[in-house]
Amino acid sequence: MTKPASVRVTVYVAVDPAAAFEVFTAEIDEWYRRGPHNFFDPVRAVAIRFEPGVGGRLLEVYGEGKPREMARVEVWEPGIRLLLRDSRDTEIDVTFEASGDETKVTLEHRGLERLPTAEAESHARFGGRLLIAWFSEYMRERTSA
Amino acid sequence: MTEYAGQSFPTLCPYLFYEDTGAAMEFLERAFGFRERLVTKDDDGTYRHVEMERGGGVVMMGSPPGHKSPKSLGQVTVGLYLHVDDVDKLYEQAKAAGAELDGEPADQAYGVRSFGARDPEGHQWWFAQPLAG
Amino acid sequence: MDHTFAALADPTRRQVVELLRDGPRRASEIADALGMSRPAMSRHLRVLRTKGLVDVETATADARERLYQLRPDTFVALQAWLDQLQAYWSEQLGSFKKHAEATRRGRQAR
Repeated sequence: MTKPASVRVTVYVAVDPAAAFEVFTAEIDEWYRRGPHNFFDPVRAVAIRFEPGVGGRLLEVYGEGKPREMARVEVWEPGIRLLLRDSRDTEIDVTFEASGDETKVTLEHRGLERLPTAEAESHARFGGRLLIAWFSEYMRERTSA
Repeated sequence: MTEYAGQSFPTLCPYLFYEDTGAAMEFLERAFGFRERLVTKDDDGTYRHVEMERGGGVVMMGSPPGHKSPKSLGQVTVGLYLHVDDVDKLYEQAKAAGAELDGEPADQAYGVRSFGARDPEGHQWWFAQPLAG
Repeated sequence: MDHTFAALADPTRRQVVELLRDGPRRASEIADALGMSRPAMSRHLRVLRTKGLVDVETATADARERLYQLRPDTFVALQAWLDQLQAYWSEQLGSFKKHAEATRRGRQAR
């Protein structure tokens, strides 16, 4: 029986690729949509941020205590590509490509076939323990009875 | 436009059935200037659901069981009519990509300059630019 | 849907559901596949039945063995997570685009 393996979303942004990459990474805390299941600990989380460079982490930051790793950077090429791997061995591959006056930004989430489907669903309900469990408010509304 | 699931949808979204969704996506981009916006694939490489957009229009694509494209039926039953900004430029693009063309762009009595074309699985397209004045 | 997720909170029950996605199975097959004793597995199967996630029918070939299968509506709910993931990434990328254009528009490469 075939399983979903990847989701790929593309947007065209009216900025150049270098700016798009910088905003995506350095300003993630400003654009990232928060929701009750987007963080490991939504009550305590105060921010989300990248440690730049290969081997850097995407972190959930708290007011007190150590930050929590959400994913690890495998590729960090400003203006070109960002590749993250999460604890469930799924990959988030973000590419930036000049397209006329805009930048084509493509985000592909791969390796979904490795996730037990039921686990993904239950984690979405109980709060994220893995990158795939970052679902937004309206998704939560849809899954509640 | 209707907004949900993180995206905008025009009121009408045709769903086109193809046997080879990947080839269709590549053709629609190269020949007709569509851009992909959503692609989901299964672990065997099958396209589960695809959305492409052009100028605010959205087409959905896939190969659900029991659904056929005109190629296997031997008959077109629906045409897709798009309004574009530069029909002559698009014509050259479609021609270069090897689209099956119904003649060159021509001014129509009903106020547009247009041409027709078919994609590799036989879906019928028309592209029209309003005539000035 | 609350009960669905309570039933799935247990890792063994999640594995059972995952196994049944591929088709109906006898109780003994499920226990063997998960390396568990029959009594232990039977407890989990009872929870899944009570919560409406699986149906059971008597296997025709052997009246003593019962066949477990996923209820169709559960199956649909499990597949829905992919739709939600699509929506999630579409929304996040839309938010990124909005923010990038609001703060950086006009600062082009050329």
